[in-house]
Amino acid sequence: MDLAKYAALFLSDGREHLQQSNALLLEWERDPPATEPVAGLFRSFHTIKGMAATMGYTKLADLVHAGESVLDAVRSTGMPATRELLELLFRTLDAIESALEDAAAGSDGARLSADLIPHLTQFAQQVLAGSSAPRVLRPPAPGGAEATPPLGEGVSVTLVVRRGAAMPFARAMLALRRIEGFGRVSGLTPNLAQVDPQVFDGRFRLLLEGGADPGEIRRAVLEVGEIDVVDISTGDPHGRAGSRARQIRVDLVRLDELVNNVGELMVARNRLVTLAAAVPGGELEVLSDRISRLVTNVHAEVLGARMAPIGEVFDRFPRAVRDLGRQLGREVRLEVVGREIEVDRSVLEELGEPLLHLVRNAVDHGIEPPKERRAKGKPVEGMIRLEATRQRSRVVIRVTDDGRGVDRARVRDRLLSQGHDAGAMEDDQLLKILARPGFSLADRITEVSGRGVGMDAVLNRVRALGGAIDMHSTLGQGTSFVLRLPLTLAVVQALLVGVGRERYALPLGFVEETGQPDPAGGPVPVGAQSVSFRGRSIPAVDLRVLAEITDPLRSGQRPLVVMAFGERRAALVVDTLLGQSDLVLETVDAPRGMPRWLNGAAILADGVPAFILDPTALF
Amino acid sequence: MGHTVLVCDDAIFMRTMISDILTQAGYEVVGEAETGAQAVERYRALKPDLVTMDIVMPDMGGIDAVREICKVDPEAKVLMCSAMGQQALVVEAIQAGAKDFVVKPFQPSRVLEAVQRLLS
Repeated sequence: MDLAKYAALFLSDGREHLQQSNALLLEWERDPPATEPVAGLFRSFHTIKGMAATMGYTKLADLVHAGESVLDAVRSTGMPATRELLELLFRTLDAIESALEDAAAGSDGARLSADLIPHLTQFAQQVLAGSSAPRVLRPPAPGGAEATPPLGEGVSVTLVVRRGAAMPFARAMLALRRIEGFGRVSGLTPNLAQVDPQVFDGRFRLLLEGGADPGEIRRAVLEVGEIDVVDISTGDPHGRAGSRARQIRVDLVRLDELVNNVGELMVARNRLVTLAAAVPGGELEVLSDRISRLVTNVHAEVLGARMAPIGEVFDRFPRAVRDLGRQLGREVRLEVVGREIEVDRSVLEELGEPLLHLVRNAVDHGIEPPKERRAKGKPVEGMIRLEATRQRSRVVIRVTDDGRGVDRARVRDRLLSQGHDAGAMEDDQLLKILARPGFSLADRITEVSGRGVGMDAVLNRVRALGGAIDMHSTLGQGTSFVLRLPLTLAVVQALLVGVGRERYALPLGFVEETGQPDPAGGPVPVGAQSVSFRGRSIPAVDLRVLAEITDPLRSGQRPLVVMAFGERRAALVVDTLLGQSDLVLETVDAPRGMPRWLNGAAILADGVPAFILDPTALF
Repeated sequence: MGHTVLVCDDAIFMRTMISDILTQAGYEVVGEAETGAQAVERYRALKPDLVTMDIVMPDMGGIDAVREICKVDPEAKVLMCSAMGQQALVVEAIQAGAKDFVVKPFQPSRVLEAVQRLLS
């Protein structure tokens, strides 16, 4: 059998288990007498070992086996977490991670240090030798909040509330209560306690303990009414409720292809609807209606298939924060909320870096050293909170710390010393100042941050994703960043504007406001380099000049679109404002000679294409 | 048939309509209540097989009434009657012990479906 084609799958599965292991280890570090994390770690190691052996990666398998033997010894003797043990296990996880990558890349054991396996084996023996020591481990609390169900004893239940049912969220709660009557429920996905009822799509799954008869569960749930699908499977070996049930893996490239095709289908649909509307009452209208609905559904389904829980990104951070905290001598705890919120993969992939930046900043500049915190009467352990929520078609991510907050006086001094004017220091201005390329408050440059690159990179990345970012900071109490991002990049929210007979789309992320220039200045002449707006003169670009429009200008004042780039504002002068629209992006290769201020094109509902402006190239 | 029902709603119109729907389907409406407090008191006295409960009522709302009734009888079958847009309240009522809900404007078939489900 040719195993090479499974390497990618092996890698992604292995990474998933490692991420889980890291989370479990952190959990154990916080609660050393707990036994559940060890059991979970053991299961993950065991799975990785099995996979590695199947793939023929013997060196990796040996390493994992050695780690597993330590866990087994710990498990059987009831040894609680000690600093030494935790360090060893963290180190082992790191070693497994690089060994995993190496093995999948075809060089099994390339970076494996020679001493780790003997060290692990020896450690396991020591643990076993000292097993006459009294049991200090707390046995798993029956029904306790963190108790992980024992292997194979859970029933995974997936439910879908009937489409069109009133209040699907409330219906789901009814079903949940019914199921809770059978036994302990865990692994609720999405977590109904945190989900926004307005966007709940009616689907959820959970793991039920207690060995109830699947037939009985099904009957009880169907009795709740308006529940369409009940899928019950037993014995999920990972204890992750049904996450493996009825799923297939699809290559992302194929999915992207599908998204592109469906995008074009959407455009064609819009055209069809417009055409059909011109012939009301006919068969065409009925058919167009039907096709329109179907295409919309397919579009939503395909985009849905690209969604992945934001936890895939969030889960990298607990370990990063821990390591960083130790490196910098901070005691930090990371709280993660809303990891089940689903976001398009394209957004997810772009999100990791800016978020990591914010989290690092929070550890380095936000959270004070323990001594300082104690002196201020704060809890010694600093708290960073990473929270995702969904608001309509956007995901909102908050990164909050309870650290020292931004010292406005220092920002002012720093600005003045650099010869800049320090104006008001409201939160939004502060963010813009901090995001100035090269601006840094740090007195020292650490390995972590302080090089003055960072906030501007974060800001630009978020903007490029069509998102926005806000900051709130209170001296002595902490700082909070709020990122608002689209759930998907396949659809762009844009402001449509017109010049002459042409239309252009501006990504909404850059648009601050629209309005008329101050009347005092009279009509804005074509080609004006600046305009007066709300009593201030701001730089301007005339879209007429840019697009070389020569159609006669209708009389009257022309509107402005005020855009924000960091702290700069600039106005685009247009002929007309045509309103907001969700555009399905056409992925076009830039044709030769396409002006650099254009980003692509989209077909509007009437079938006519509109160019999408790249505001960053305008000013 | 012949199951007994207590209908709780502060609007006469709603009480009448619900009573009619249920009576025509062969249920016996044994009492009505206009406030949450009344609902609890009548539940104790009448021990009906089913209660229909409006959410917003004066003098103890429907949610508190459900909670009180479930204290008396955890198995009580309470059907919440909600207006559109009250999902959060419905969820609260479910957490308080309500066993099902219907959403106004009522379709008689929906109401009866829910009642049958609860009484089966």
